[in-house]
This record gives sequence, structure tokens and C-alpha cells, in this order.
Amino acid sequence: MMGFGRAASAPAPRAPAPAEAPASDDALLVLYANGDPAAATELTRRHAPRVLGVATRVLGSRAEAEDVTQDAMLRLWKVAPDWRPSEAQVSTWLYRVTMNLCIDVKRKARGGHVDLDAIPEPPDPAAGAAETLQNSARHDALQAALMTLPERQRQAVVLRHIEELTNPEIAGIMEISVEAVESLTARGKRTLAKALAGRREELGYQDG
Amino acid sequence: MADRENHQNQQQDVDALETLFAEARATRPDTVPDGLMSSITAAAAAEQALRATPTPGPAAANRNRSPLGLLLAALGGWPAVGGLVAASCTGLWIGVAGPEALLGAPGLDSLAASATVSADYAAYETFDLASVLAEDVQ
Repeated sequence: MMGFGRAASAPAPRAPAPAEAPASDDALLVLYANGDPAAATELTRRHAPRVLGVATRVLGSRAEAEDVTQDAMLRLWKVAPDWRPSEAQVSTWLYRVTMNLCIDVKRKARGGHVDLDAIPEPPDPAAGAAETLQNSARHDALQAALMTLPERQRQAVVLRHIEELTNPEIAGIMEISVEAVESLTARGKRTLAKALAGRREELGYQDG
Repeated sequence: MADRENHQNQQQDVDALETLFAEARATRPDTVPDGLMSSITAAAAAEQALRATPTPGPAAANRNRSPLGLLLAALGGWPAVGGLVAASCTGLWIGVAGPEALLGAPGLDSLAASATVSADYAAYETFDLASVLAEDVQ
């Protein structure tokens, strides 16, 4: 009896446990699927800002970007019970869903099936309205220039140069080859540089 | 000289673009507005609640059924009952109308017209099981 008691009550001495590591996205999705309400809040806190940021850049409209963010997160909640951690990272999956939702938004706005790469978009007329401060002008200038790019070029440029993803990551998100990503970003950057060429002084970039 | 100036301008455009990208990276949102956060988490809770609600299983479905409904379910539903009724009616009809009616039924005319069948049948048409048994007993 004593032996049993000693064996049960005398665990081997252990080093103090390190500070608890934050749960992974995959673990949080499992918790969410099992009914933990806090998991959804944590996943939203981690991922929704990034989705909102990239959707705003790609769409050029904060209101549309918020709708896309909500829709993308809803899709994450729906897929949670069937989530397979080995197949994708949550962030990559969300980028892909967000890019597709952005395309849907633009397609609906055009009211039909149009080749998105064929038609550059006109600059947002609202973008020039707030150019009273130089910082605002720079911000708006970049957004206005981005909006002149065809949809897929804009997506590639935003993912590469603002989200700082690698070309293979972007290829996976946009479901195209790495070479196609390189081509889209190179063409996009050239067009952006040209669009901004005449605005150096206005934006505070002096010659020489 | 003009080429050099042109190249210099292009480089400045690229540099300016890189600066704009850097500023855009620095101003990425690290939170979402409270209203959006609430909407997203409310949708998450609604989705959880939807999945947590048990779907009625077969036992729950049977609990509300009438005895006739239970019998119907036990027999295999309306299609099975249809077949059962058809077979029962056919048996009843054969029993009431006798074998002659069966042989005269549509589709069995050729069978009825067959000389062999008619002759075989004629040989036994005056017999019935009761009289044969009666003769055996005697």
C-alpha cells in the first residue's frame, strides 16, 4: 500500500515549465470546431487585420474590404471541422480565399464575365480628394497607381511588395506558376513607376 | 547624356516606388474596427451553434409516428407496400376467378391457345383435389 502510494504521489522532479507557448492556428481551429468560443476571437485577432489590409489594397475600397474580410473569416469557420493542418497554413488559405473574393467583388461590380487581366481600372476619383497633406498624398498616390493595374497584377504586386510574401507563396495563393508571378510583379512595378513618374515633386521626392 | 539622365530618372522612380511600398507596409492595419470584430466573432458563434444543434436521428423520427406509420416504416415504406398490395390482389383474383381466367388473361393468350396446355388441362379439368382424396380414402 505504501509502495503504491509513493509511486503515485512522487513524480520525478522537473525543470520549471517554460512560459506557455501560444496555441497554433491549427490547434485553435480544432478548439473552435469543438465549441471553444475564445478560439474564434483569437483567430480573428491574428488574421482579420491582414485580410482587411490586403483586401483594402486590392479593392481600393475600405467598405468592400470589410465585407470581404467578414466573408473570408466566415469561410474559415465553416471549414474548421474539416480542416487538415498538413494541407495548408491558415494564413495562406485565407490569402487565397481573400484574393478570390476580391475577384468576385470586382466581377459583380462589372456585372458580367469579363477578362480581369484585360481591362485596367480607372483611378479612384476619391483618391485625389484628400491630397492636402504629403503623407496622405503619398498613400493615395500609391493606391491610385495600384488601381490602374489589371486585377491579377495588382494582387501579385500587393502580395509581393506590401505583404512581403515569397514568389512560391504567391504562386500557391494565386494558383499560377512562379514564373507567372515574376512576370506579373515585374510588369506591375514598371507600370507603377511610370504612373508615379510625373509626381516626384508633388509627393516629396526631389530630383538628384 | 540624355540616356544617362533618363536612366537616372527611372532609378529615382523605382526608388520612390520602393519608398511608397515601405510606407504602405508600415501602415498595414494591426487590428480591425470593433464593429467588424464583433460581426466576425458573432458569425463564428452562430456557426458553432448551428453545428452544436443535434440533427434528429431515426429514433427521434420514429417517436412521433402513428402506429400505421410505424408499420409502414417496418415494411419498407410506400414502394414496398405497393408491391405487397399488388401481389395480394393478384393472388386474390387468381383464387376467385380460377385458373381459366388466368390463362385467358392478356399476354397469356398464346399459352392458353397452346394445344398441349389445353389438352393437359382438359385431362384434369373435371378433377379437384377433394374428389381425388375421397377416391383414395375409399
